[in-house]
Amino acid sequence: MSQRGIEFIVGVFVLSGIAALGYLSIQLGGLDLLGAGKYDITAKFSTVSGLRVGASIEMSGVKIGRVQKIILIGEDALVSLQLDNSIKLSRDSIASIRTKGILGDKYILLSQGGSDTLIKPGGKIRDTEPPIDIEKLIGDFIFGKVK
Amino acid sequence: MLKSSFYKLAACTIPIAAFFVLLLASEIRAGEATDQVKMGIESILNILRDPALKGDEKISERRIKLRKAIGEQFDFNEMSRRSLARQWKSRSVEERIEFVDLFSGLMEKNYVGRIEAYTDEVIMYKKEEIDEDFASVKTVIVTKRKQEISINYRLHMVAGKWRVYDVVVKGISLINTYRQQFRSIIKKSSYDGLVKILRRKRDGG
Repeated sequence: MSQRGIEFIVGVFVLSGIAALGYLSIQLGGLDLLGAGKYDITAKFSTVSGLRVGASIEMSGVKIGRVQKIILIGEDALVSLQLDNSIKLSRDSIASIRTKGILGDKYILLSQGGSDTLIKPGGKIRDTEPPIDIEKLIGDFIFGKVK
Repeated sequence: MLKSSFYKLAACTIPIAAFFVLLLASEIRAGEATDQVKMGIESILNILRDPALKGDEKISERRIKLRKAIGEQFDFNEMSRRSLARQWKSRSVEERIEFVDLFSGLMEKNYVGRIEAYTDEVIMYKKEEIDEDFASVKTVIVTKRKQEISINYRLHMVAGKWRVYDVVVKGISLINTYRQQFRSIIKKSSYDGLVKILRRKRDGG
């Protein structure tokens, strides 16, 4: 085989290696470059403490999307949710921030409503529940008993 | 000359005036959901404060009045629909009417006693947000032991009137709580099983 032929094969091999590395890092980083087959909606929470960008969005325990962005608007937190296209949410759906286990990561749980009107891409979930502050509840419970 | 400057003045003034009128209008609209919640709560508290309605012997008379006052503020139809979620769609008109009746009965059973236990706690009206036909009114109740309990009322516009469809106490939504309970009962038994449970609750314990 000629010198040029060998160089060509090595070049192809190196390029495919770089492409594979790129793909791997995108996959591991959870980065979504194309956003194909997905759509965004927003939800406003009074607090999102503990929720991170990239956290999963679940319905009945099944992952159906991820948290895209969290920004502060006035005193509230506006969360962008990226959902799979196959998920159709009715207008009266409720988004709640919950904890996996007692001390686990925060995630967003969606409960489907019964309305015929659907939330369109770019729309919003009006009804939300902030994370429950367990320590505060325990405190209230303890001090609530003092009488 | 004079005429053209008059037109210039008018061209400047009219949009500014219109802007202020609109601003005023939005401000009027901004307070209305809070006002309505306030009025509703006051009407309920007035019944509780009324000396003519106090005591155990007046309980049925008091409850009739309370039921009426609460029914004017709360949209039990919407609350039932939201808490039944998908199940609501597959129910017939008669079943829906029956469910709304049972749901209001459940609310009464669970909460009227608590409302009657009210003793001059301070209610503060914090913030309201209006978004098209939906509104939320944030309130805080300060108990005698100086505990602050946040209660948010979620309202929607029905025939020109704001009506409550959800109450969020300390971040926990009443509708979501019932939605999950109803769903798990229906999954374990059936819709009829849920109706049976609600009926049993209404009729006695």
